[in-house]
Amino acid sequence: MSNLDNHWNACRDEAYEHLNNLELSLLDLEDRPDDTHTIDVVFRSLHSIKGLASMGGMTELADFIHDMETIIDMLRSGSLSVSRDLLEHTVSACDLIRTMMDTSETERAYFNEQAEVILTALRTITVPLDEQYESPESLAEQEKEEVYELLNELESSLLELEDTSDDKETIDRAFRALHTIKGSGALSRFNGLAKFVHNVETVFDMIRGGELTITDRLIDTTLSVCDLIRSVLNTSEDGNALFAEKSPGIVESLSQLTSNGTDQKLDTNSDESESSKTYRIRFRPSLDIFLKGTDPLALLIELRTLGYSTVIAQKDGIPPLNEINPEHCYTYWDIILTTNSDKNAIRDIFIFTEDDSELTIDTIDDSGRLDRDSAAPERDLENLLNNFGVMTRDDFDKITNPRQRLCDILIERGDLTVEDLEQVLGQEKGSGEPDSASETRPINEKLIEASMVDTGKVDSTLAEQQHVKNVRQQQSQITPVSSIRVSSDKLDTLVDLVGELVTLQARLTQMSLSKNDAELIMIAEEVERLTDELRDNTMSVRLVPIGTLFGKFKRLVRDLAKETGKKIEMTTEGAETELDKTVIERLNDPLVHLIRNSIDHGIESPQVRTKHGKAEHGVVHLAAKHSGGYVLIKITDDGRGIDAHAVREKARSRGLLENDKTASDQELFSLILSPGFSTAEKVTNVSGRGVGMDVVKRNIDDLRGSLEISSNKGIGTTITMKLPLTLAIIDGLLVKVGDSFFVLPLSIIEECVELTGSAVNSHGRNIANIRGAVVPYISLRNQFHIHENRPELEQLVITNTDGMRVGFVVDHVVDEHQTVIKSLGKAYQHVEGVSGATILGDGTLALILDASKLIQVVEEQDQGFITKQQSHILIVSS
Amino acid sequence: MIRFGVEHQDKKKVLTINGSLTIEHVEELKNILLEIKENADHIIVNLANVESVDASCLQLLCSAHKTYLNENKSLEISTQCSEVLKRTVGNSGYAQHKGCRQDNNQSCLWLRWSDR
Repeated sequence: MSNLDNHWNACRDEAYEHLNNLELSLLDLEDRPDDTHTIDVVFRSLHSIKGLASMGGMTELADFIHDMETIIDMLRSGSLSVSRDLLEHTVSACDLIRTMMDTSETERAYFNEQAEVILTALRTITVPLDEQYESPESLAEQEKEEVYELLNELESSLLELEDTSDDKETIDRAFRALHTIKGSGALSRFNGLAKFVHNVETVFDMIRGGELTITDRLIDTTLSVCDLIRSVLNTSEDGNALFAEKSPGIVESLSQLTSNGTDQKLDTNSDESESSKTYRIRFRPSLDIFLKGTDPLALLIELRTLGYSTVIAQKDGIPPLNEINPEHCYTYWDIILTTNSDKNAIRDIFIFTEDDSELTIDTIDDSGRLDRDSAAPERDLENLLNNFGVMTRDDFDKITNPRQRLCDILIERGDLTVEDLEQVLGQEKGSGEPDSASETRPINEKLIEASMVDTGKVDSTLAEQQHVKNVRQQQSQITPVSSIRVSSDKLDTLVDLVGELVTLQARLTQMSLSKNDAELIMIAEEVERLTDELRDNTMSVRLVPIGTLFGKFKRLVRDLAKETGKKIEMTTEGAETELDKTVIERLNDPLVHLIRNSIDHGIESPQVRTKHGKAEHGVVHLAAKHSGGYVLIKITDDGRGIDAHAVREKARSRGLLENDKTASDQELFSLILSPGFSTAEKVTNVSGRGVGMDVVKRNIDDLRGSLEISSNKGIGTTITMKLPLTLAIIDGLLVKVGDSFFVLPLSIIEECVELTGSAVNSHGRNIANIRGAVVPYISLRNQFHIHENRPELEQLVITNTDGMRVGFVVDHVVDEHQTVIKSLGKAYQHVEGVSGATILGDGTLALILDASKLIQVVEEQDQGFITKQQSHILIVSS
Repeated sequence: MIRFGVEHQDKKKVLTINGSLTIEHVEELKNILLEIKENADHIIVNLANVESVDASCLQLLCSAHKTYLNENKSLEISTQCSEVLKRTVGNSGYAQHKGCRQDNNQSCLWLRWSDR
């Protein structure tokens, strides 16, 4: 009996116990699939069997159970739920484990085979559907997303063209966006949509060519094209009907726009996409072309205007001085031209010489399509080996890159015959012992040596190869390979995993310090460094420039300006500022509200502005910039500003401000953020109901940001949002109350002071006197009903949210803590004042506090206590 | 307007051409080149002040080079060239990386034009 068998025999009984437990628990799960305790038992049983199998030397069994354990762990984490299929496969796994345990002679091949079958079946269940395969639906969604992005790009270009109608670069940008939209798979699902976009593209091509000019009407029509495409894609089921209904009007408008400018008809039939082609042109002028007053070089220069060209003069026919008639042309030209123009356009250049000159134009490359049509490489290989037996570098190129065959080009050009080629190659083959140097020599040298072709012709062929290679390289560079599109779900998962890793790393660091093992500390430090790098990189992957969002608002501003009859210009700054994708997505609504407010209430009508000595055009300025771990977004308008007096009156009439109390402008403006607060005299369809600003505040609060309003009557208003770069990790201050830990976002913390008896106002109210200023405070101990012993000296963490200073009383301020935010489970999602949780290094949980919400909760409990104190503070400070 | 000037330097002759080197003067250029060939083995054509060039003259220079090579003589274009000439040679397709079959010593007039 081997040592391994001895080990296993010692473990076997215990393993059977765990296996029995496991089977019973699985049966329990059939009745109570949500019982987390039973799931834990299943996991622990598997884990124990794995350990025993490993100790007993049953490595394959241990590996199998490890994989099973991973799947059951998904049940524990909630990323997978118990299903009948999952239980069945797990029971089969138990059977297989038992078989393996019963007899160690079980054939390994059989075990491995069965184990693989079970694991494969389980993986099919565990992998979410969208990860199993890229379903047609998800592909379609991706394509749609791309089109939406391009539509934004197109709209932004159109709006720029309103101001700078002759900016070639912007016209090109609009054209490229249209061209890419046309080619999107998302459009192909709707009858005629791609063709419709092709027509719009034609219009922009005419603009590019100077045949049409940009007009307001053209921009309006093109914007309506954007709207139509968006609507069609949004309503995929009735998209065809919608398109059929709306498109004729737009096509008619486009036709009218183009009919005045040129006789070029919009193409309603051609599906051929525009792409550049490479032509081989041989121009052999008549002998007397010089005498007719034509310099061939002028034609070549004109040809260059069509695109990228390579010109080779064939000079082999030039006679020596004593024979030459210098007024005769003995030179001819090979030109390789890559252009969007067609053969007719090329022919047009030679129109006055074509009658007595030789002109041949062949298409040699059309972005790879010729390759696909050319003979199969397998056949080439077969021919090569059959005919020549030996493969040279040139032959290898012939197979690997069919467009780069020198001999083929020479034959195609008529500069070499197949017979001549075979003769050269045949001579070598028949020359007895192959000379290795000769075999590896390029074919061009062999041909020149055999006087089969002139050097000029070979040069020209090589130039053609190089030209095609350059063009293809350029084309491959145009295709954006430097970035890939990844589903945001996958990024979320990555961020979650990094969060887990950060937590685990903190634990490792803490443990290494407590063990005081130098080697372990070193490893922990290394892991910490790598984890930090990984975290930063992962977070940066989710960052996208805010410009994508700004671009959308240009359209909004334009439409609202038209609707309100005002003249408004929108300017932006810092569009390249990057923010977490989720933050950007959730910023859309608040920004829309703020821009609407600026336009409706802020910017005056042109008449009023002129009367007040302002420019007719109002300006809405959107700016973004980084400020530490935050991004500041400012929305500034040069409108009428906020009337502090009106706000004060409204606040008093609504009981938000006591009649005898005064308040600074800053404080008054923050009241605008209260629900239902509006000073607008009339409600328009743009804004005025007072439901906007509180929504804005709520959205910004949800993003853990803050809002500040500053305004000067008659000059304008600036609203500043301060937002965290990412929602996944925050810098927090870790505090302790009793045995519980809490995290407060560092961004709102002003200072930490000791809450001494002298600082506490003794009138039974929670008010502290901080260097003469009165600060209301909230005791976290009371708020969270923590009953452990209160320390003699408590700490007061002073926060400032939306201009309001409020203290939080804690037992100890522990440290600054980079917090990986975990959402609370469903049961706790509605707990007010807590925005999430984080796991500390030692595995302890800390709640992340939502300060403004907590203040609001206390306000409601104490009937406006804090606000009243704030009023008091105002009196004190004024 | 064109001016041809020939001067003798050491064992070589330098043909300096100023003005427009075009079809009107190509016959004259041919005759000068033939004449110089009889009296010198090494000719340098100085084109530093050429104002324009056409295909007929480029062709003639190429013909002259071939002729000189056949007679074991050499003809070269001065290193200093006018911008017009550089541009024209570039556009004409005459510039190349390898000489014709007769050019065994890499003396082709049209080599290394991109370096000029």
